[in-house]
Amino acid sequence: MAHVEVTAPPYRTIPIIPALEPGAMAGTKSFLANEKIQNDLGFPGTLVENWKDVALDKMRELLGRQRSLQVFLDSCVHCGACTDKCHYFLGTRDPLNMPVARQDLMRSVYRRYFTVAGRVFPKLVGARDLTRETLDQWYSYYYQCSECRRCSVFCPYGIDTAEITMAGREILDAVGYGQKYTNEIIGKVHRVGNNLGLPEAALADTLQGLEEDVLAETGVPVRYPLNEKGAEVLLITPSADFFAEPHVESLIGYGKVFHAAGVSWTLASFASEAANFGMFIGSYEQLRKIALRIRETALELGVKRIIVGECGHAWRVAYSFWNTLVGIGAGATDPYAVEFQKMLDPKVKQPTHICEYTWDLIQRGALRFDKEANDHRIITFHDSCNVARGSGMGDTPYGQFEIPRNIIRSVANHFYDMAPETINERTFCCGGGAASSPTICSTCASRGRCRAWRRCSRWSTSTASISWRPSARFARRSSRRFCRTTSSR
Amino acid sequence: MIVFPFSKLLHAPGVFFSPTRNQRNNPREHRHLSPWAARMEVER
Repeated sequence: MAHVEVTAPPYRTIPIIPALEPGAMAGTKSFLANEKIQNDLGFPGTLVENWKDVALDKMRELLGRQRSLQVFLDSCVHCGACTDKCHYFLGTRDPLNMPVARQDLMRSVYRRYFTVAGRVFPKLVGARDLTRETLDQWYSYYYQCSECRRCSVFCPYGIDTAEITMAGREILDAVGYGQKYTNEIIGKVHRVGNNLGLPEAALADTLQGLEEDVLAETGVPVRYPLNEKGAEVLLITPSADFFAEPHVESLIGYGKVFHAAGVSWTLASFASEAANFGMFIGSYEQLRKIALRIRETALELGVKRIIVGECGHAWRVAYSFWNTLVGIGAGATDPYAVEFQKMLDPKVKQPTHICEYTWDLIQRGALRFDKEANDHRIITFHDSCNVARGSGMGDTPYGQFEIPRNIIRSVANHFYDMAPETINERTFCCGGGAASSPTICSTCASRGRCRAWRRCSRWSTSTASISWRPSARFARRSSRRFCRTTSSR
Repeated sequence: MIVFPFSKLLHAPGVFFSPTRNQRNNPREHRHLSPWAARMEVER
């Protein structure tokens, strides 16, 4: 590769507190969901006539159902610890993107209608009415939060702005003011089984292609099974692993790990999505409906173990919520979850992250690596926000920081961590979460690479990560098949 | 005239009641199900 002269701006110490620019992002709005997308999820198609009553009713319901929401709205003392921690504020300089201000958009309305002080002397306690302008502000700013919870790490009370963002989005959906990106994708999962709308034939074709490629490259007949009954392990992985680069390299790697471990495993087309966009819009009903596909598939295939592929949000939902949603875990008392937990192996953690599984194999000496083959690489690790702050791994606290790093150190000699205030629980969000970058697909330069991608581009499919493109393998093999067999329109 | 944040001072002990820091990290071991969520568990 030719030597290129690069001029970079001078290095500055993170975080850099920007000068405020009020209203910088006030006009920014994600694309609105149309009637069909909204109705598919049971939400009103457009903004309803009595939106104020519906919104306040929904808020009342959420405050009653989720004690955390009321606590977080009540306990903020405006100390300002969170302000310079949010990457949206640091990047946009809009003061309403400070976590405290984002919460105050809802807190002011909560105080006005649900507290005595707010009802009696609103101006004194910073309470305000729920007007159309406020609703528009909510739509603008609650979709500028990627629910990464970095603010919560520094808050003395541990107030989780993501909970408030999720509640805000639930209220907006309830009045028919939904975002196209998330709601369309949730509809796709219900119809097809995964975020990208990849039908079973496309998945089978991709996996067959991977088997051929791996055999050609390594000479080892690694299998990538789909819907195989009686397999021991069910791998639930983000659908991007079938479609995008570099994600498809992960899927190839998972197959090699299972092959080396000698365990029978399978993917499933009915539950071909680990990510759960129901969490982004805060809707427990949508979260549960998507997660139920996994229980149904696992019961049908009769697996003993569920392993989750690498995806930050997927792992947060899998680790923190799958047990509550559908009983993947232990300690259930209701009949359906008990039946499910009886089928799964109680000696291992359910679900298991692929990193936990891989690290366990490495520690037992089941996987052998040639570390020198990676000597030309200098590697760092960007902690995924949802993994770092919203979940755990392994048996020890902070396992989610150590296990991935241990795996990298086992395969490479040159691993270096980034600045201390940007790693572990202080990691900066990649910006891809909570559907706050819905314009990713329209700016994705790689749409021209694949005919299928061009055709499906109006679906705005993207699991929005740091610069990915449709896998060349997928484009080569499946584009024609994909266009013929795709049925979700 | 000095403005002293009495409200902040009186809320300070609240840091010990933080729900995010006082909850146990055992979602895989124990099925946390609130009553309204339990009412949804009516089918296989």
